[in-house]
Amino acid sequence: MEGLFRFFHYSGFYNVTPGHIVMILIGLLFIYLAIKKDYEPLLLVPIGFGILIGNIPFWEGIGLQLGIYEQGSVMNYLYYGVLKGIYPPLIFLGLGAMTDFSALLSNPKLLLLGAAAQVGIFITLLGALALGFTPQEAGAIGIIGGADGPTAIFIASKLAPHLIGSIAIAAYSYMALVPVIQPPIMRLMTSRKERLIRMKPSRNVSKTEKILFPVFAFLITAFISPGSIPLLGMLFFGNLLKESGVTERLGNTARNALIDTVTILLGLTVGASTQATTFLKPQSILVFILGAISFMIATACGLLFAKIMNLFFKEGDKINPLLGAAGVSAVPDSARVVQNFGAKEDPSNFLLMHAMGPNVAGVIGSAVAAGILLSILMETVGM
Amino acid sequence: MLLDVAAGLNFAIFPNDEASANMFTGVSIAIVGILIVFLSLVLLYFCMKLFIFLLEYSRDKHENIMKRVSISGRTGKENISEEVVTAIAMAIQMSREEYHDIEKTIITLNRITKPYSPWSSKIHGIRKSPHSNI
Repeated sequence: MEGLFRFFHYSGFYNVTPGHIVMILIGLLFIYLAIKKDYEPLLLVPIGFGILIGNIPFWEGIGLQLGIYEQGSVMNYLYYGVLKGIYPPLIFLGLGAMTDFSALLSNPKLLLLGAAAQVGIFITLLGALALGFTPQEAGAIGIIGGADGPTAIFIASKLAPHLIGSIAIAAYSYMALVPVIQPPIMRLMTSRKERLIRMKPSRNVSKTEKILFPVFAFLITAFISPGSIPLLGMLFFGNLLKESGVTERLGNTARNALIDTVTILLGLTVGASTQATTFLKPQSILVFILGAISFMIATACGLLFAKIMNLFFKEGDKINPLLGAAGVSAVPDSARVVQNFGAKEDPSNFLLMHAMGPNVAGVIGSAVAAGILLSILMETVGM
Repeated sequence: MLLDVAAGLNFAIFPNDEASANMFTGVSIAIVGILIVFLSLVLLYFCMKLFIFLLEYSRDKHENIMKRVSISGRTGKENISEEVVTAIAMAIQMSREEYHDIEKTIITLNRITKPYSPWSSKIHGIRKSPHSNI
């Protein structure tokens, strides 16, 4: 009888807290959104199930080595890739091997929209500082506005490892919620006339341009912001594997097997890191609120900058300001949102390929911004 | 100058020393960060424009040369019949001395004698049928 009672002490039913229940419900919600609503299923299913794994209550004090934060547990080993910032560059490698920069190469001025959307990162940084976060924490929270999950995790692992769970969940949630968050801002900030603007057809991009772009883009951006080398180096290397035409096998592995494996590990461990005992804090709620604001500001800045750019272009050369919303680097979701939103006004206006330009520019921009934050704030930590 | 303005505003809003210092750091990071992000992407933009310009310039130059050759030679594609093209091709071929219908008429068949070797012996290469002991 005593044995049975002891076993009951080990069980989840005995150790459960309201926090665990809340987190399990959030995990189930993520799985529901992924399967039923088709919101970023490749991310939300692993994260949602990871939340379930991380929130099964157990007796922590007796060294069973089960929890993600317990030294020596399997989940702890897998989590190492998140904590040390190993997974994000590998994701970027796969992303580079998938990305076609033709849209950007055919219309280079769209690069500026990718830069404008990063303003949200820095404004949120100020907001986080005003709320009492340290500069390092504020930098890690601000990067959520880049709408780039791997970048957010990479920066959080370096600047504020204790916030990594909430930042990762916030970043991926907002990436999944791009179709919900962006359209109202797009409607608010653009007139119908602007939304109907048709873009010039894209220029044909030669193979030479496609091969040279990753090499030179890496050299330029990395020389300016060396902190972004792990991310941009992998991104452009992956792209060179794709475009060179002689490393098809490597490119294929990077964009399929490798990125899938890393996504599974990343999603699962990030989800599991949201253990109720460490995750459910007022700080996490603040991170979520700031993340949402960051994302909205990024979208608004992109739209606004597109409108400002139009002031300098003559009729016929103007760009559809909706493309500014694609400057956040949620690839390809925000480009898809732009296409769907534009098609509602004029079904024959195809903006998808044009929106991919600022979208990939956003990836470059957010990685550069991450590099800047890393260089400045890591230096402050060192001091 | 921008940093001075930021510092003034900052001290007016955040009288607390630490919060004020953090905010000042934040404003500096934000200004520097935004400028660097724009600088790197604008630089990338100009490099891309330059590269596209050079590429199009070399392409135009090549096309101009081709056009000039075409005009001076008066070889409009539509004026040449298939027979003429075939005749020209044949002439070029013949000028390279590759005559297919003229043989040299020299017999080059030589008798080749191979020295015997057990390694190439035919008798060792075939399967021997088993002998009956009866």
